[in-house]
This record gives sequence, structure tokens and C-alpha cells, in this order.
Amino acid sequence: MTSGLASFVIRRLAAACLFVLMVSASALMLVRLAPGDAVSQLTFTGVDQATIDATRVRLGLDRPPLVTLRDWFAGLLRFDLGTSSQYGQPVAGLIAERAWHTARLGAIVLLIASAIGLPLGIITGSRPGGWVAAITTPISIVLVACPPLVGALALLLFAASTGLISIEPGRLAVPALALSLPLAAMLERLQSRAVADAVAAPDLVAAAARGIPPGRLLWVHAARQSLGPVLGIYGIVIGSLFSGSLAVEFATSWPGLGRLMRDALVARDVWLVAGCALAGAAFIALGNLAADIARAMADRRVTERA
Amino acid sequence: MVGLGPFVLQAYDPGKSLTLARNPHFWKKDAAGRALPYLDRIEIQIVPEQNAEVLRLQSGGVDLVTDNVRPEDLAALRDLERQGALSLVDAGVSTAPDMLWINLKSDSTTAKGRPWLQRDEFRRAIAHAVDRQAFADTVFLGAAVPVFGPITPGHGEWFLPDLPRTDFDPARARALLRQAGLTDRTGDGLLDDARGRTASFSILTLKGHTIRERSTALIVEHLRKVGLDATVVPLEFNALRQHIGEADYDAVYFAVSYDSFDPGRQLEFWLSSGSFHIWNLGRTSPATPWEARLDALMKQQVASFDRAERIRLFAEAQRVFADHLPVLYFVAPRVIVATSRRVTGATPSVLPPQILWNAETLALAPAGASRQ
Amino acid sequence: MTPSRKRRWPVVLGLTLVGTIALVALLAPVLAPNGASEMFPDRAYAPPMRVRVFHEGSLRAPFVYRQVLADRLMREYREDTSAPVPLEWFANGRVVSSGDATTPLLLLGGDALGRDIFSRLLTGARLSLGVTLAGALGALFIGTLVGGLAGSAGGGTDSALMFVTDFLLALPGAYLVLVLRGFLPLVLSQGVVFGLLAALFAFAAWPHAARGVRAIVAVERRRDYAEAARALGAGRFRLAAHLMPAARGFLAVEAVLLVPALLVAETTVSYLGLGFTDANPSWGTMLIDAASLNAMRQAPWMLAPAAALFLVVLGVQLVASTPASRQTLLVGKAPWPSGGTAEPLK
Repeated sequence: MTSGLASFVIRRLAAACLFVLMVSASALMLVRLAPGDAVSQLTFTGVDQATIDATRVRLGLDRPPLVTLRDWFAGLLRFDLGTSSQYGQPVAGLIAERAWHTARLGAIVLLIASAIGLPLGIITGSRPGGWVAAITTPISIVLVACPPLVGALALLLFAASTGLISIEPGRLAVPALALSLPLAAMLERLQSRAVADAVAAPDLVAAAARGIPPGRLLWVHAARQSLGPVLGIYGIVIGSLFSGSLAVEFATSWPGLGRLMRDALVARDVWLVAGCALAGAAFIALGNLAADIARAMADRRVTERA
Repeated sequence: MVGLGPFVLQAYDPGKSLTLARNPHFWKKDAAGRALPYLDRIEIQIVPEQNAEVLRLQSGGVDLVTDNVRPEDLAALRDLERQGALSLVDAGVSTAPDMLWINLKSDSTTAKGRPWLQRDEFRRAIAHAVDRQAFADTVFLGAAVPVFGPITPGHGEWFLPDLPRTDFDPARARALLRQAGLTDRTGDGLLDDARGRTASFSILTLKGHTIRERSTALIVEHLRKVGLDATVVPLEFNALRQHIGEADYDAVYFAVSYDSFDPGRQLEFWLSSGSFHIWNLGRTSPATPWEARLDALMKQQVASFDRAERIRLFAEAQRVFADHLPVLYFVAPRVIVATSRRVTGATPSVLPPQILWNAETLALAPAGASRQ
Repeated sequence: MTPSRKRRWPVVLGLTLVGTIALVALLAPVLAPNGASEMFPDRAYAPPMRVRVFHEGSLRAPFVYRQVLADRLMREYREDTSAPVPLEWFANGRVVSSGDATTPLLLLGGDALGRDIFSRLLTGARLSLGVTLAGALGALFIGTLVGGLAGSAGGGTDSALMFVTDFLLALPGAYLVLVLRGFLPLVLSQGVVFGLLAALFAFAAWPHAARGVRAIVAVERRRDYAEAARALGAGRFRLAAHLMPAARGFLAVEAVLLVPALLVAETTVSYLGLGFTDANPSWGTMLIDAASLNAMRQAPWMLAPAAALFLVVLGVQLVASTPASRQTLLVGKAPWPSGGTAEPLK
């Protein structure tokens, strides 16, 4: 079984690499195709046309998009992601720093959200009439229905007026809460439903008939079986968390990838856009891979044989 | 790092913060002979969102913000001022009001098929159709003054108080539109051209700027009351720039800020060949006799050394401008800046950078006297 | 209550809620007391008006007190308790409105431009909810098809489909919208924007649903009845059709998650230039307007769309809270125990 798992992982890694490359290439092409470029910011600032044209040539933006693509790939082979036209600094450095912040926040959010959401989901799914469900379900719905910007601002207001949590940029508390509470609610909803389904499944009923105690049934067997759909979503969750949740980053001034990507987009900073897309795709691919491995290990029956 | 100014760049964290440190070699000294600047360090934090910016100011996290205070934040900041945590200063009327201009390029697609769009009467009708006082009251909560040209009271002596005004007069607007060939032929409340098609046009603007979005919504509403069907199309900067550059638009609502009051520094706008002669870009010679007159006046005033003479010439240019209204102005907001209590020596100006322009004389009050 | 009726009340409540909201949205032009884009001077950030029936101790027909602007900059208003303004019913094509044209009926107060929030909420419901629900249904439909096929087929089909799914997820949607906007004409009619947005949302959201459905179906595929069906020669699509009902529960939750997400997405997309114009209010843009810290603190009624959104999500949640699937198909179609809740395991 282990060698089967190993070959599974290797195949997925290869697919992941291809995936990351394709996404980055597409993002690069898209930003070249979008109206305007990095140099068009200089219009209306009094810079004369000759300088604008010269800068365009210097940045390589007068060449066709496919040439840009080729140059990017060539750079990639040398581990050179190019220089940002906005900041004048190497893209790799910029991304590494922001990616670290985003990863830091993402990891904590994931931990908190999972620690709260999954167990609560198991409880509410198996006992829909119980008191836990009565309290949790309405809160979950409120959190799920709340737009991220409104939630982040509400938290900021609360933090600022009570002074309990610091709102300095770079402090984890507010963005972590703003992201983990809605995510916990989403996980709770998904887990709850998955457990309710799993608990009704025939093999669990059969297991109950065989005399396995209900506690074990729920927390071991049902939980494991219900992880399927939840883990399927985890890949996406991880990916979106790590590519940055824009609204929250903006509201709390968190120096993450989301803001970097958005600024790069507005400024048509070609290399930075490609680099951010690469980082985002890498996170999604890793997230999916981790989720798939976890699923494969939790439910031995899931293998990827043709 | 070497620098000539009062501060030198000490650290730069791209997209996050800039730290400026005192330049020990700065030449200026104050009246008492002490070396300027007083401050040791200025840290500029790049906050991506105005809400977060204001919140940090309110909670004492920053000493000042480089933007003007938004009207909707004034109430909260006034409260803080009463409590002694902040000081608010009205620096005067802004010199960079938002402007609405129509594409006057004679060979653009705008000109074909909708000749009424480029008529002088059309622009004058819009100038009369918008209730500027309601504009100031609604969008800026009263903290703005109606203006009728590019030079506002904030420009000081360059401002012409007796410039002919286009007061709020919907009846006059309708009459002017009739002269331009637009009447309601279909009975739906909207004006139509000679062929019975509804007179519609689009106004491009920059997306994401709350004040401008509200302004355009208000303008559209006032225009609808005289029968004009305008649609606002908010675009992202690069798309907007492209449309403007290619003269592929009907009208644009935008603003640009200058770093000086002197019209000699605004030639790009006034001269026909200027890079910001926004209603008709890319020309080397004047398109109309009145633009030729403007060119002549502006060149004269910038060549003169006599200030009174320059003011007189520029006043004449403003009158020519008011006669033809290539660009329409409605209101200019009051520039209000906020600093924390401990900042002293600030003399806010309406021109950006409003507070940091004399950063060398800024100082912090002694720790005992600060807020907390 | 009999067990089946006890389980049905959430669904009934949910349907009532969703149905009422839909009806209100459809009847918006008649139910709204004012025009959605009408700006009332001196009513910016006005607080909600209270409808009263007692004036100076005596009972009257429902009325409101005149609102007076006390300080424009500080956004202070007061009620003029000496001047009751009676409400007019069934006049001017509206169910209810103010009897005095200078005192508009602002049930939820005024927004930053002095427009009636309540009227905008009702009018915006049609567009916002319409586009959100259309997009959500589209996303669920496509996601189920793709996920179901991937999960039941397994192997190469699965990998290929999931590759495409992840690719679309990873692609920065913002760029796509920008490029798309660049190719479209400047002024778009409301119908075109509606269709574009619905399609965009369906396109953007289906990967999320597909991933979940695929995971469920992949597990289902290992069950005995599925193996049996394959042994009996069921093809890919037939098998997928058998297995997909297992994802019903997930899809229900997904619907609850999608509605608010898409509503918020509408504001992001309009930021990129592809949204409804201001003349057609949408809940998303109303929320952006309200999402200013000081506005939230001093004019919380501007967050009415968030409350309305909560009601919609609640309705969808209740409708979707059907008990877990209780039928598992066996060859021969003998249903398993129909008590689908967890009660038997206590």
C-alpha cells in the first residue's frame, strides 16, 4: 500500500508542476492582453511621450505577448522571476516576503477554523436537535452570510472601541479572527452535513448493528467517512487562504499576497503578476495534494488507479 | 545616504512603509539658529484603504494622514477634536476640483451621429442644469463651495470673483438644449435628437473613488430632470486612460491636482498643444478661434514679469474659458486636514503635500502634553 | 407531530421566507415608498423614521413626524413632534408613501446621497438576488455534472477534469474580467450585464462545487451497489447518474455558501467595471457604500442589505435542510432504513 501511495504522490506532484506553470503562463498572457500597461501610468503626469516610449522599450512591453512569455520561462529556468516595474526590486524577494506573511496567517486561520469548525460540525450533524446545534447553527449562518468586508470592519470597530485587540498593521489578531470565524462556520456547515449523511449510510448502520459503541462510531468511523467532501474542499480553502483574502488584507493592512497581487494588477506589473500567480497556484496545488493524501490515508479505498 | 532635503530615505519596505531620517547636513536653520529639521524620523506607512487609515488616526496609531479628511469622517473626527485628541484645520478651498469635460475632437466617433454633443449650448445647458448648492450639501455635507471655472477661491489672487456664473436654472438649460436641437419628441420625458432617438451619452470615470461616484450619480440625476439620459461608466485607471488617449469617449469626470497656484505651471492644460489640453488632445495648433486667443493670452502672461499684468491677462483667459466652457466645474471641497494633538508647527496648505510640505518645521509637543 | 411533519417544518418555513422575499422583490416598484435613485436634499445619512399611531395621547391613522436636519456635517437630525405627517395609501402607484412631498418616508433612513434605503433595498433585490441565484444555480449544475463525472469515472477522466477545475480556480479571475471588459462596448444594457454576470458567476463558482461533488462520488463509487452496477455493465454516465444523488446534502450546503459569496463577488466585479450602474441599485454596492467605519458606527441602518442577505441565506439554509439522504440504491431497489437521522445511534 505504501508504494501505491508513493507513486500516487509522485504522479500528483508532476501534475501539480504542470498546473503551476500553466496558470502562471495564463496570468502573464492575460495581463499583457488587458488594456494599458505599466508605462501608461505616466500619462497625465507631465512626462513627455519620448520618455514614455523609451521606458516601454526598456521594460520590454513593446514586444508581442508571446515573447514576454518566452522570456519569463527562460528566466524561470535560471530561477529568476524578473524585476518588478513598480518597486524596482526582484520579484522573487517581494513574493517570498509577502508569501511568508500570508502563509503565516493562513496556517493559523486554518488551524483555528478546523479546530472549531470540524468538531462542532460533527456534533451538530449527529445531533441536529441538541442544544449545541441550537446555538451553533444560527451563528454559523450569520457568519456565512456576512460579507467579508463588513465582517472585517465590524471586527476592527470592535477592536478599536474596546481596545482589547491591537489593530496595528502586522498584528495577527484581527485578520486571523476575521478570516477564521467565517471559515469555521463554512467547515461546520459542510462537516455537519457530511456527518449527517455518513451516519445514515448503510455500513454504519450495519456497524451499529454489530455492537460498536456509538461514541466510537461517531468520532472514528463516521468522522473518517465524512472527511471526504470536506477534504475535497480543503484544497480550495487552502489555496484561497494562501493566495490571500483580499478584503481582509485591505481592511487590516495585512502585508499579504492578496494585496501584492491586486497592486500588481492595477499597475500592470507584468513579472510580479506572473510571480504572484505562480505562488497562488503553488499554494492551491499543494493544498489539493495535501488534501488528497489525507483522504487517501483516511479512507484507504480511495486510490487513483484507472 | 546623501540628500539635499531635510530628510533622507532610511528604509523602504515596498508597499508597506517608508522611513525618512533626519538629514544632519541640511542647510536651513530656524530663527533661533537651531538646525532644522526638528524631527528625527518620519515613518510613512502605506495603508491601502481609507477606512483603515482613518481608524489608525482615530485610535492614535498615526499622527497624521496625507489625504484630505473625507466628509463622512468629519463627524467622528470633530468629536475627537472636542475631546482634545486631534486638531482639525480647514486649510481653504481645494485648487483641484473635479471636472466634467466633453470630447471636442472633431474627427472622433463622438462627433459623428451626435453633433449636438459637441455644441457649446449643450455644455452650457449642463452647467445650468446642475444645482451646485445641492451638490455641495449632499456629496460633501456642506463642506464645499460652488465653482464655475478651473480657478477656485483656493487659488488666492488668481481667483476672479466676478467671473460670469452659470447659476442653477433648469428652464434655461432646457432652452439651450432646444437650441442644440434636442426636444422631447417621443413624450417619454427624455429629450430626443432630430431623428427621434433619445439623447444619450456616457460619462467615464475612475472606479473606486467614492466621492466621484457619488458626484456622478448626482449629476446624472440632475441631468435626468432636464431630460438628458446620461450613463456613468466607471472604469479602471488603465482602461480610462486608454479611452481618453484615443479620444474614444463622450464625456469624462475626473480631476488632476497641481503643485502650485501659478497658472504658469498649468500650461499643459491651457495651451492647445499641451499634453493635458484634455478636451482635444494631440493638437499642435488651436482648433478654434477662442482656443487661439487662449494660447496667445497664456503665452503672454507667462512671459511677463509684472505680477499685476499677469493677473490681468489670466483673468482675461478665464473669461474666454467661461464663454465657451470646454470643461465644466461644479464644486470645490474645503481641504480639511487632521493631525494628532502632539504635532506642532504645521501650517496646512490646500496644495499637496498638505502638511508635509514644510516638514522641516514640524515638531512634536513634549511627552507630557500629548494625547492619551 | 408525526415524525415526517416534524422534519418538514424547516423546509416549509424556508420556502415561505424565500417565497416572500421573491414576491417582495417582484412587487418592488409598487411596494417602495419612493424612487430608488431619487436624491432628497437634506436627507443624507438620515435615520430611519418611526411610524406612529399616537400623537399627543390620541390615536390616529399611521403617521410619521417630520424629519428636520439639525447639523449637516455632524449628520444630526431631529423629529419635529408638532407636525405629524399622515401616510398616504395606494396613491401614485405605490402602496404606501408620505402624504407630504417634502417629507419623504424613509423607513430605513437615507444613504450617503439622501436616497431612500428601503426603496433601494427592494429595487435592488431583483437584480442582486436574481443574478446571484442564477449564477448559483448555474454553478451547482455545472459543478455537479463535472464533479459527478470525474468522481464516478475515476482515473484519467478524473485527473483531466480536476486539472481543468483547479486551473480555473487558480486563474486570477480579476484579470479575466478586465480583459473581457476591454473587449465589450462601453455602455451595456441592464439585460446584458445581468446575463454576463450570471454566466461569470456560474463560471467562477462551479469548480468549488465540482471538487466537493467529486470527492463524495468517488467515495460512493466504492460502495457495493456501485461495484455491482459496474459489474452489470453500467457505463460512465449511467453510473454517474446513480451516484450523484449522494451529493445532495453537499449541494444543499454549497447553495447556502454560494449565495452570499456571489453577492459579494458582484461588488468586486463591478469594481473592475462590469457591474450594474448606480441607477440600478444592487445590494453589493449598497454595502460597499455602508462599509465605511464611521458610517457603520453612526449610521448602522445602512447595513440593511446585510440583514436582508442574512434572511435570504437563512431561507436557503432552511429549504436545504432536508434530512440526510435516506435512500441508498441497492440492486433490486430495496430501500434501506428510512429513518435518516441519527436517532437510532443514541
